[in-house]
Amino acid sequence: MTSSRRAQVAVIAWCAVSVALALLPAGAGGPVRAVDAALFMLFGPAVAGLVTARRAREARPSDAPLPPLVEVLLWTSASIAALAVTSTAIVFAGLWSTPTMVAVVAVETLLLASWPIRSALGTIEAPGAQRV
Amino acid sequence: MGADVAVQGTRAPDDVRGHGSARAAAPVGRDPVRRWGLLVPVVAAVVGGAAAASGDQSLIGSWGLIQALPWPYFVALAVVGASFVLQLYGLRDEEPTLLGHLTLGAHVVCLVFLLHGAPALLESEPRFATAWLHAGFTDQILERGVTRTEVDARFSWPGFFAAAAAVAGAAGIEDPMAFVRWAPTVAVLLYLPPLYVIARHLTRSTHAAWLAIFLVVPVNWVGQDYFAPQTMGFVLYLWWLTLLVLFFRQGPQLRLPRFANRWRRLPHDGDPDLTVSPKLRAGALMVVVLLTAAAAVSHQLTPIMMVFTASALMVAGRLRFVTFPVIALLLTAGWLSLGATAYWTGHLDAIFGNAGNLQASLGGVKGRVEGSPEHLTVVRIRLVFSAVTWLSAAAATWFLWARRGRAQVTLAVLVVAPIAGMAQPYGGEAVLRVFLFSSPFACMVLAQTALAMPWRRAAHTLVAVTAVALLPLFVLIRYGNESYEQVRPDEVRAMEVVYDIAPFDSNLISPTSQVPWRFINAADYRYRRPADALGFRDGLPTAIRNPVSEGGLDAPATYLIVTDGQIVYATEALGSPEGWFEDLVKPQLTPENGYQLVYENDAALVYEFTGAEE
Repeated sequence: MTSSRRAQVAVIAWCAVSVALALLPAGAGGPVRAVDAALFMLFGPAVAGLVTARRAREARPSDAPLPPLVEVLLWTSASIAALAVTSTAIVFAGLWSTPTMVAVVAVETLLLASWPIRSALGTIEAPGAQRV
Repeated sequence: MGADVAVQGTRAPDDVRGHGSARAAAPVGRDPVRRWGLLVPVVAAVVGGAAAASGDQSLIGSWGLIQALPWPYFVALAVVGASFVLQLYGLRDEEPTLLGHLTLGAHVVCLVFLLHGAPALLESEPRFATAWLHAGFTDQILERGVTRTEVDARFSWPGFFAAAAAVAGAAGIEDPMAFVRWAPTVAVLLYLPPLYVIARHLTRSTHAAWLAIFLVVPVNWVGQDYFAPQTMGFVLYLWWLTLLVLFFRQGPQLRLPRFANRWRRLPHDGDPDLTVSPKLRAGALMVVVLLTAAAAVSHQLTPIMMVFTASALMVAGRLRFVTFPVIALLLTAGWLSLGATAYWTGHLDAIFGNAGNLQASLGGVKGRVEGSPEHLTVVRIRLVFSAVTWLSAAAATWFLWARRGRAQVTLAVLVVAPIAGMAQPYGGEAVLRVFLFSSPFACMVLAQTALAMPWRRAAHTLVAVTAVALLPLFVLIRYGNESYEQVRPDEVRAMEVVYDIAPFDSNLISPTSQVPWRFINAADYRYRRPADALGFRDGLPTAIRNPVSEGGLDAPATYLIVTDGQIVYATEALGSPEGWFEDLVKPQLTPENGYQLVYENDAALVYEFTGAEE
């Protein structure tokens, strides 16, 4: 398993743990839950996106990489903007609740973290093999 | 912040890379200033933070927070300022190593902590009544999952409140007030990375980028960094601008008439656009549109600033994405038509009535220049400081162009474009916004100029003195209103009592806006000023006997809340005479006039109003 693949698995595991913590009753979980939730809700999709981008670079090394700070800004801004837009849409749809919002962020994170597993698995796992 | 944003193969001109010293820098291991540089901000943060925390809140007076902060706090500030300049000059022409970046970054973070965290350390309650109100709006969504657009216009742009509620809910936080105390510190820390990237790209100098973001921290005095939608709006704006500057400046530009094209032929400023694959550029474009959408649903003014800035960049030949202003306008107008109908129905005059009315904005500034002599002095220092910043930036732009042959077109546009924001119907606050959006780029021009000036020794001394002198000046002008922007614990206790005794839908009346209320039950009461607020403060008997305006006559009960913050605010900022409440108003709050005192403590009085006797 490549390091980028391990990172993807770690993000997916983090997502599962964060969802479980976020669905605890209010006031439970203490500072660990609070810090984890803030990181996950604001930056979960960003972390997944960064891992995805790294994996995609391994699949296509000829593409010019972005400077690391720019890449972090790109994904972080997208992650927080998506939270603002989706939470607004859900409020106006009358469906806003904490579990709904956690589910939305979890789906964004999982989709981003699992995308290269589906699209470029062969290239990553077996260098030189035909792309799936 | 160790990333090098420059495209490989490009080199900055000699006089902008460093500060031009011919001597090489001493190796880190032999130079104690650089070797121990990382420790200085850590120690300064501990000493300065402890000093601020030991300050006495009751000493805050007409000059603001500066009166309550002990001297070791200012020593810590001076040490950080001086140490940062030494670190920067210690680099000479070298690019910073990772340790160098960490050291400079630690200085900037320490400065943010000391300057923007000082009230959080010193005051027993989070500051600024409006931030309490925003915590209440967040609580409304967290607790009930819905907004109340008919109660308050700000619910029509719920992006910030809904996102904050989502984080609070997932974190298990039952009271969003937990976010308020440290929100300014976090917000400023979020501003800085995009500003560093923009500065590095446009000035082509790591040294100038670091000096610029160091300057931004004390120059940004306008206080639009509390727990508020406009804070998130500004963060979104900076991220959005970063992507435009890095990806979309070069390429085919909008065609303009020949006479308008002449000055667009100036050499390209800053580094070239990042060289990336078309897919990645398309991804960046999608993020730009997403950020615009997020701004459109979060804050009414930020997307308009985006339209102004993008249009100005396009006209200046520094934005190839020519349809962007149209997209931003469509998203803004789309949200106003679909999501904010509850606001604009019946408020068209408020939206368009003052549009383009520069006099209204400048009149709003004039309205802010009133109050006690101390307050007036602070306000005048702010105005002079802002004017000096802009004039210095103008002079610096001329210097770079005329004497160094570098036309900083993009930075000049970013400084000037926000001035169009004064056309927005937002009174004097629009001018504050203009400075907020413009000043970071003024700092970039100034930083680049400071490092490119001749007479290096004199220039270095000037930069060092300015960097150190700016810090206490910031404390004065940023927190000069603290006598009424602080929140006293007894004021909060009084509001908790009101929420215990007042039935829902009651009128809650405060003589001025500086009251920490609505942090819960934000939409469950009728929060109001007296029907004739000015007459009430002046002690007019008819105004005091009739505090309830027409829309509140059918409320089940009416309570008047008077706090120290309101009394000081009216004296310091609204021009009411000293003792206006004790001498003019309080003697008339009698049972004959319909008032019954139901609660009192050292900082607040609560009266129930049951109607004056005929």
